[in-house]
Amino acid sequence: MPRIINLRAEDWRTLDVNARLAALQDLENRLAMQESRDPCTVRLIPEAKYSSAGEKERLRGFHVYENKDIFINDRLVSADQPYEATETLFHEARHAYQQHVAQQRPDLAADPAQLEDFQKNYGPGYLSPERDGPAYYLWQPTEKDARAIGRERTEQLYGQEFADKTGYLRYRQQREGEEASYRLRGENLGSNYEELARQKAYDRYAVLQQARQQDRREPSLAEPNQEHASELTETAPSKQATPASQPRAAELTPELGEDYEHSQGYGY
Amino acid sequence: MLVLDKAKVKKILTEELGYDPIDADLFLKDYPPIHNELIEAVQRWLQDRTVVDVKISGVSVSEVMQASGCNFLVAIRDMDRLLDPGLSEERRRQMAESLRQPVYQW
Repeated sequence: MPRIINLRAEDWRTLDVNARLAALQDLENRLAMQESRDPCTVRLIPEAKYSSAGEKERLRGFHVYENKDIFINDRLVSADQPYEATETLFHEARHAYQQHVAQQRPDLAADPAQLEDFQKNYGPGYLSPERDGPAYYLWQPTEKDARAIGRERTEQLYGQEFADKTGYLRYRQQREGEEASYRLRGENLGSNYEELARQKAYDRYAVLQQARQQDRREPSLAEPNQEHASELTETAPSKQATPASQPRAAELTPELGEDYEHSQGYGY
Repeated sequence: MLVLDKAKVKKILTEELGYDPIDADLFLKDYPPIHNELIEAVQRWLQDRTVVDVKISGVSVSEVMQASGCNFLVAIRDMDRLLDPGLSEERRRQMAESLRQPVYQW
């Protein structure tokens, strides 16, 4: 676990926003090195990104595939306590790792099932809370994995490494309550909600991939690089098309094409 | 129980709520029949998009929409589950409370 002193609560409190962002970047740099991937650039979410005050309250951060940025809500970075910002960084870094495994290093996957989850449950296979519903969003494989790893690493850092006995214990309690409410939301789908969410993601992936292949076979009926661009991308307005030069393990998902893009936004 | 007119709802999803046609089909594929307590609110919304703020087990449609930023039909789908006669009262209360809690996104 990278030990970034400026992420300790007592040090964090003394820092301005830029120094806090630098500490989060430092954490990301070290995680990336450990995971043999390129580091993401950690930025604040632009104000224009939020469509409402409610969204600003709910959106903690997101990871953007095509340019490897991690965006964090300035509300978290401005807060007196570092826990939510740090856990968000751990969460988004995990999405970066998922992408890395899916696209570059399938050998790093824990098992074939995890690899399939990482490969299918983003981009076309990603479920958004607004479109698909919060329970599907929360329990799809990549979000479930990122939340679990984020929680685990935050506990390692503050519960063990820093042995934070001040605000962290209350924060941990709040997060545990939050996860309990998420499990109840999952049960709203059915008792096997994790599998239902996985199947929903896989269904979307399969349907969109089929549509894309159909476009390729009938180029006169559609513009293959544009017609399904909206289906292939999440709704984050900051998204950009994947440059043709973006390195990708073509042997993994050759069908998805060069303009395939993905954004883990909205926590979605 | 009310079974949604999928063609009509798909038109609303794609022309007004920004759904791609493929996503609209996926959304409607598993959409359950609606219990009687919610029918009037759904019919009113289908008619003119008015959100009748019906409450089920103490939680309202607007609260559910606000907690997660979801649209009316997503909220109704979640609330409809509360009307499952197989749920215990305690479970129903817990699930209703969970629908009111914010869903953070990251």
